Amino acid sequence: MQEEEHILFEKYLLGDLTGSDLEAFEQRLGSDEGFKKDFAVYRDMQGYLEDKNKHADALKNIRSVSSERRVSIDKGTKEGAKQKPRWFYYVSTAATVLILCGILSYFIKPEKAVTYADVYIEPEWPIKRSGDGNKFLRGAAVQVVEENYTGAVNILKGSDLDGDERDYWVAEVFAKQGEADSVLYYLPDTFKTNERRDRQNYLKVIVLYKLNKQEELNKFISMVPENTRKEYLSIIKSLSPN
Amino acid sequence: MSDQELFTGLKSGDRKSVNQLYTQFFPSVKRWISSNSGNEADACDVFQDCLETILLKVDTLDHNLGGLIMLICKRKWIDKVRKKTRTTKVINEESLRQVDENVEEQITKYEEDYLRYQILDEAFGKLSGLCQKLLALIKQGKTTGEIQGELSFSTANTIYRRKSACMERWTEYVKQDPRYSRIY
Repeated sequence: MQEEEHILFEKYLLGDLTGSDLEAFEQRLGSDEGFKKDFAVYRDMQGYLEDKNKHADALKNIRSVSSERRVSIDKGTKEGAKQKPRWFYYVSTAATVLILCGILSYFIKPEKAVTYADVYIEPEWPIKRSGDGNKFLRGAAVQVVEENYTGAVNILKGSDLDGDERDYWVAEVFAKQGEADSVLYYLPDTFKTNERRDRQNYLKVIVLYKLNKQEELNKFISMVPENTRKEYLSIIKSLSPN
Repeated sequence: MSDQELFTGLKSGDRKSVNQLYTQFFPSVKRWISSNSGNEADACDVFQDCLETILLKVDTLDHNLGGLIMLICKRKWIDKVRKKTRTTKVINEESLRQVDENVEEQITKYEEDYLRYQILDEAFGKLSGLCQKLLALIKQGKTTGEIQGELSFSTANTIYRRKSACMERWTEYVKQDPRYSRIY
């Protein structure tokens, strides 16, 4: 059915429809909304292929320059982080902190605050070659294991994974680094399985906790289903501000 | 380089022009995005999208290139933030309201066209490598014999059957996109 429609669309676009066939086609375009939409999609697909052919080199250029820029941004961030003060600065700071902690702990017995690292659980990175795993996803997972997080994100962004699946794994890479804002940014709102739902909810909770968004965290925790995987549910409940 | 030279360079795939566009216009985009809940990496994503929009959807340069880039980037960033936070308060949108209505309309059109391109592109990306190659070769006007040779198809009939199956799958993917109803 669709094949017949496509042949018809192609003929129309090439100007091969004439006489009563052309008249019938145009009449249907005016009266049949579904047909009209299908035609619009088909026409745009042809336009897309033309654009893709026409601008292939220019697109490649933009992507390559942008990717170089991104690498230099990451490098700059790392180099910035590498600019460490001299050793005595460390020692004196550490000594001051130790003394202060000693004094404070003598007078105050605070509850030990739970940190992000305490509650973060690694996902099962899809690294095995067996099965039908996506090659980009596997490649990204390998980069994560090698602690090349930027490389992992770049592989995922250029992958053929569908939007939510790609965003989810990008969020996982950021979660591994503890970059809470980025996790929130990429974490999809939808899920295909309960297992994924539990993982996404769990990630959202721990990053909201890290960002200290108490109100949002409280509201979100109250909506987490009771049949959530136990391992996650116990952490989620323990982070509830109430 | 003048605006027109940069625009032509971008269109013709000149690497120098793309670098120049980054040098000249990226800092102000970065500044704006950084002061509106984003960071340099976000600015980089938005800037790349913006250059692709201009490459694919702007046929003639009727405006000041810097202004056009800034406006497209601002709108793209606002859309991204809205999508993620479902709030409109994060960003000061006042700066967009000062834009001439005609320019605004034109940019909306570029954006819509680019969104359409993105939907098609993402759906196309889900097709198998063979499908992608086949559809591209057909569009390039390659002969049946050339395609047969390049893709190792046994008969010309296989090309037509495959093409039809690929187009159907592509259409399905496009229709499954949640943004489909916004465009069609």
